[in-house]
Amino acid sequence: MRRELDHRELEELAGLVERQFGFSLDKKMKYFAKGEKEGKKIFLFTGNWKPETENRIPIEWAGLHFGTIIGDTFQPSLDGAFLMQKAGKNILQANRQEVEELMKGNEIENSGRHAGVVILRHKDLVCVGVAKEGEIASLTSKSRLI
Amino acid sequence: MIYNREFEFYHQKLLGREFEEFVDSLRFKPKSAIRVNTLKAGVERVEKVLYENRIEYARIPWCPEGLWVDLEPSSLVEHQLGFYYIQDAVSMAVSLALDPKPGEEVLDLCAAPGSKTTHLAALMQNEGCLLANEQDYRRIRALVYNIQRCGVSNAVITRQDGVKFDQFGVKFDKILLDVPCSDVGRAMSSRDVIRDWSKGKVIRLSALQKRLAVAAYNCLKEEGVLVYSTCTTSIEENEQVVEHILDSCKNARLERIKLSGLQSKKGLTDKTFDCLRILPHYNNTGGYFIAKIRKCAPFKNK
Repeated sequence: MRRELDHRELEELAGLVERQFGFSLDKKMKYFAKGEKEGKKIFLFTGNWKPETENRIPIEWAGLHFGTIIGDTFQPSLDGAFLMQKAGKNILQANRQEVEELMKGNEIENSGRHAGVVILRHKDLVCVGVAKEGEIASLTSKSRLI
Repeated sequence: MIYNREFEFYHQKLLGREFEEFVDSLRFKPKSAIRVNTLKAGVERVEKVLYENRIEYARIPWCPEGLWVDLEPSSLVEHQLGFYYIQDAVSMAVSLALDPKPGEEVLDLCAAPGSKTTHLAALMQNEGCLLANEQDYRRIRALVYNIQRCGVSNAVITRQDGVKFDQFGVKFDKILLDVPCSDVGRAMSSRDVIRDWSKGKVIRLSALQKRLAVAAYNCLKEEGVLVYSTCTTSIEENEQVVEHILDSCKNARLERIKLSGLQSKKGLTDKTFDCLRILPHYNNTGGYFIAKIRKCAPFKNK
């Protein structure tokens, strides 16, 4: 069931994204949550939302999947990461080959001491991975693999 | 090419002298094209990607975001990141004909797989509200995938029967109705199209298209605009549907579509002269039919 985040939930989400990625959420936008087994999916909606429309027409999907909250971790989607251009924490500069490897679902070497969910960037290309000891595993969803 | 006598007879009568050229064009696949998704990248950025990957490209005259390509770049990271959409060049004209603006409320009544939906969202700059409806649950998956990949954040998806969509009482500034059709304009990509073509099928589809068109028209606000399109050739699925709207819907007026650089012919009847009829050999694309109808404000006596 999809529902709009209330003020408290939005503050919690904003705090989480700020702590993890140093990114300030635009709180003027609408954010929706959809609970799933593997976490709470967060959707971003930038349009003019008219709740009366939803009262009249059942809605299957709204907005852009921005990321998923799993426990106390925010895991941005590929497109959520793309929107977080001004993020300043847990951002790793990569080369094109490394981005391609993660987009293929492969692991790459973790040359630093990074841990947890990271956004990898090469110019305007982005991908998302999870850094562990010695490696960064791909978080690219199956449907988006190249 | 598969021989279908009924298809040949019908199109000979419909197209006259153009028939041979038309049939010949169905032997070849249309020129490949991509549309740059301006929500994520600029045209120059994508041109650079194509250049670096040794893919030849050229700009499509009627669509500022459209590029002809000699090879479909489906395996690049930039494709999965939604920098561009692989799309038939002629279908880009449909969203441009509707010309949605940021902030407007727009309905795409038969939306999957999402090539035009994502184009509309880009033209709206992710502002306003784009309602994408698709009745077929399996096709919604493709629609969601493309909306997500292209970074569309102003869209909602509904799964309703388009014919009954006017019962909800929600009104829109602009509506795109790209209906299910006999697909002759895509015959070069699928042999089944000509094999399965029959006049009976066209008549059945025409009846459905008329019902969809009236439902769509009923969802327009005053001064709202409906773009009706098909990727097929028959007069029953094109001009006759437009005439049905003009005859049965109050204050409906056909408008001229201005798209420079796109070769097209006029509608085949007097009432539908302002429609665009595009056969595959005109632009080396698929075939299309596009009509733009405005719901005029009713005349008020002072």
